[in-house]
Amino acid sequence: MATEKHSPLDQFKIQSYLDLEVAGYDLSFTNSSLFMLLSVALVTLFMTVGMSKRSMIPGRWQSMAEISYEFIASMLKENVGNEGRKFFPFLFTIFMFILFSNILGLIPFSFTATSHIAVTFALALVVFIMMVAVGFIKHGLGFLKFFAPSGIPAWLYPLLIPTEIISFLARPVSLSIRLAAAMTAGHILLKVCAGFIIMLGSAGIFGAIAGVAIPLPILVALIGLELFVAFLQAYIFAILTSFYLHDAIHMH
Amino acid sequence: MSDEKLNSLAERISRLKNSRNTRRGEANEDDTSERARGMSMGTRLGVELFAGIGVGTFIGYMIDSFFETLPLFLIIFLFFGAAGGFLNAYRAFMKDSDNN
Repeated sequence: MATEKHSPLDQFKIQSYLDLEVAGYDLSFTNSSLFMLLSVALVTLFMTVGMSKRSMIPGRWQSMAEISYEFIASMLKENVGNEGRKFFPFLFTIFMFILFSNILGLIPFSFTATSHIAVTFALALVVFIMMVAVGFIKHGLGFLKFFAPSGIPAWLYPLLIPTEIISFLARPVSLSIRLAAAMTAGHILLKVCAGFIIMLGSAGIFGAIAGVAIPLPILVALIGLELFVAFLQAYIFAILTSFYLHDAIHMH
Repeated sequence: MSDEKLNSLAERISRLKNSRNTRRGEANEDDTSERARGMSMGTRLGVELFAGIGVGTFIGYMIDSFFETLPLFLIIFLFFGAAGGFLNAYRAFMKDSDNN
């Protein structure tokens, strides 16, 4: 056993770098805010530097920037249709922010901002408010028909309307829990697996050999899986957002 | 004449597509990504159920603490929440199977 206790959950601890309190709210600059800022800066750098040359034949950076553009643009076109074009900046920002936060979190000693429900729920809330606002602007009060599906007997309405409302309200909750849970679970798994190497390494020569032979390849595979999950979760968040936008614009 | 040509072309395209599909099926890489996608679908449905029940219970509890009728609306909205969760999970699943 290691003398110093090191929990796999330590990586999610919020550390304040700059204490700040405004009107009773704790607005400290923390490691979470630092990594969020960092991911915003990296996305900006990635897109502006990538597109700075604007050559007809794209180089490596430019084609990466173009691929990410195409990816979200085609997702919107497929799932929302032509009206979805207006929401491209919104969806692209959310997708790139989550993607870069997830991937930044995989770098050792870094912090995963998206592993905290406070962050993901704020993102999901932005999506939710956007969806409700678009629905009401587009359809007026007719958007309320969203909760009352047509073609069912009237006596079912008292049962179906609360169900529909709850299923609507559950969207941002499931959206945020999924992202935070996937990131948290993956990072705990990585830490626990890395802990096995240290533990086996301190158990003599055979332990060291076993430590290199068994958990290390697993760890390599897990990092690959986590990279995939980091992308997949950003993708799921973006595609669900586009589904919800579709619902708000076309009403089912 | 041109119809015949078109037909033979269609046949060739479908043959090529089939052969590509079988080749893709044999590859191991696709198998693991398929499994990862299945796993993510599974967690998605689980989270969807959980979120529905959580939101329903929360609303029920809020109504109860407002009217001071504690267990009544909590129990009612627990069931509504479960129904909403199932509805979301069902829709998510149907949408996914539509896409494939």
